Amino acid sequence: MKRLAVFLGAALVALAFALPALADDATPTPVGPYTAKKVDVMLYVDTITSTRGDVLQKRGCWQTSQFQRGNRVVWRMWAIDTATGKPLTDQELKYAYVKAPGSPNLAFSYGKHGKLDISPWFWTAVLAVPKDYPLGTVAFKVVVKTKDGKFGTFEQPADGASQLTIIP
Amino acid sequence: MNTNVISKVQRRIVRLAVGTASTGAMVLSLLVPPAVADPGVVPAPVIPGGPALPGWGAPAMKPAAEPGLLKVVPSNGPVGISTTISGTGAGAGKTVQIVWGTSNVDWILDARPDSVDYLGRKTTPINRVLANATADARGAFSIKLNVPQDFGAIHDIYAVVDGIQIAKGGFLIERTFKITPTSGPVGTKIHVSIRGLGATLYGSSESLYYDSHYGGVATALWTRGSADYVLRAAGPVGPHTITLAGGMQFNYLNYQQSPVPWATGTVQQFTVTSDDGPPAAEIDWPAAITPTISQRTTLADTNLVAGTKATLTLSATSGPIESKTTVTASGLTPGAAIDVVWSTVVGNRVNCTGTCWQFSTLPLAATKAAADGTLKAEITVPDNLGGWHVVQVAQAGKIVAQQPFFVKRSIAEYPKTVKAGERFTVHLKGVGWTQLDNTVAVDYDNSYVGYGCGFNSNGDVVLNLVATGGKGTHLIDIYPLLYTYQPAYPYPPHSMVPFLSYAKDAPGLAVGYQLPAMRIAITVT
Repeated sequence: MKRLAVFLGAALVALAFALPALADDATPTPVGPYTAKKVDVMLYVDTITSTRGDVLQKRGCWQTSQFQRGNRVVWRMWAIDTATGKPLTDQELKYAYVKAPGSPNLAFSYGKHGKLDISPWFWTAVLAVPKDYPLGTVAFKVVVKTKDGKFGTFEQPADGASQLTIIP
Repeated sequence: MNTNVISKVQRRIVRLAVGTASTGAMVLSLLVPPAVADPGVVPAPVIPGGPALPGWGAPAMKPAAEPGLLKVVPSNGPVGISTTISGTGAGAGKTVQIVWGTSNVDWILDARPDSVDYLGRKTTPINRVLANATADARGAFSIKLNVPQDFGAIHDIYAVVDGIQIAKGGFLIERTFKITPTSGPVGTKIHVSIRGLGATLYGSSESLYYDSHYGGVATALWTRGSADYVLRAAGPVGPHTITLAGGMQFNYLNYQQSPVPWATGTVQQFTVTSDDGPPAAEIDWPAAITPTISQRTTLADTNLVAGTKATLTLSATSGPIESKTTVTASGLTPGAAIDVVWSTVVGNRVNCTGTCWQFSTLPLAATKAAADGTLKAEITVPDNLGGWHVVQVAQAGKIVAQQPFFVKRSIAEYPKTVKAGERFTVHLKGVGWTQLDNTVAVDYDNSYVGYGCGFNSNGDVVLNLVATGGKGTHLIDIYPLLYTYQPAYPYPPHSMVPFLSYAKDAPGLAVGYQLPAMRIAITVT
């Protein structure tokens, strides 16, 4: 009995020393919403208002996902080369466009937005929403290709109220 | 006296010491499982007069690589309007399914033997086929149909051929409002009918304002966007303004700038033509609805002694306090003593962490089984908590048979006349203890003035009110309320205010809770 007690005591001491080592060696498993597949080109895309069009919006450049028929949907896009972390300009992209149902591909153009030296440069594409365009969500897709053959794409999350939506 | 102990281990054990005339102190050991049903969506009951699910089930489908656009004319309007849906690219002679995107919306409850908690709502998107069209030789198709009585907001419409969504369109169901009549004396019942409430959280309810005073909220989850309820004409002779307003609980004052700009409201006028004195008190019960889950807030499914052959029926399974019901039992041990007891709970929810109530029993009758093992005895429903209880028959300290009984709310007392500015009380009975029925919400002349709870006072509620509004008739409407303070869950909506749509769209209906509007009136002198 005494021999068994000594053995158990030794085992517990060994386990006590072993536990910190196990903890240090453990590799945290990434969890949560931040995991994603690796891409060559990361796209940030949103939609903003325009002061042009058949039905005018009160102010331009307001971020929104809802547009009336006759409004203009302006896509704003930044493309980032994930290898360098740098935004891609018209010097690096071969093409960039929005693919929206019922519309020809809408080409992005790259430009400076604002008159200040510090005004930002980004890509924009425009859809003049036809008066008979269907109500509801618009499942658009943004596609870019770099001159060295890398692709980037963007699609809206399938669920959620933030999808581009055409309203009366 | 009863003494009760609940210990929370893996199973909660309830020991009840029951004092009875025949046996003295009888100790019952009862095993109470924890939640017998996980919190979750309550299956929707059949609502009388409620709209059916539109169309029929849609098969699996996926978008085409290059989906087209559907032409929907008109593309917005009220339920029932005729619209024409047309498109191209279907293939010659193909059958085109017109698929309507909609949702089922359900209440979420945690129904347990010792309480029912209200946890909110859940929207589940579904697709339904409204009609089939046939493409012509060029692959074009067109069909005219009536927009179904369904939730408001924009519905996706797909043209589906062989499981492929070849084109997409949409239709916006707009809200409509009807208020009838538009004039009458004080106390006139005004019927409010709303169509096109939405399926999503924001946009699924409509609040009531009477002369800009808040009166409560109406929902239409189980009625697919259709809400119908009653208020009563109040106030001095002359015009009054009824505002029905979008928003989750209260008036969303700038809804047009929201992501749900179709969550509209209306402003209409009702003219009070005369004050003919206070209308008679009445209780408006909800629609007769068959519950969809068997779990009640009782021990109905637990604690029976194993292998019992006894059966029990009640001549009435619901009624107010002090009403009578006849217990008929058979299969009992002949000639042996019987205790008929009433299972209830004692405690409250105030400043409570965890569960602050316990099961308790009240003696109803003490007698003996007949020589043939039967029992027939009339019992009186105790002046105690409202809601679901269970009548239990015990022999030799064991529960051998039991049946649930629902205690209805009732009006005990209120003054007919009160001097202006004076305080007065309204006395109710049969208020319950769950998050569905432990609280009543009070409108005074259609203005929400507060709530009262019945748990700590064993179902007895004395509401303290003040006579205001000048001389004449004034109305007090007491509505059900969804209680969400303790335990508190992450934002269950539509709670702690008068629940105007209680009659056809309330979570408790699925569990057999018959919670009414109680309508009384006083004369202020």
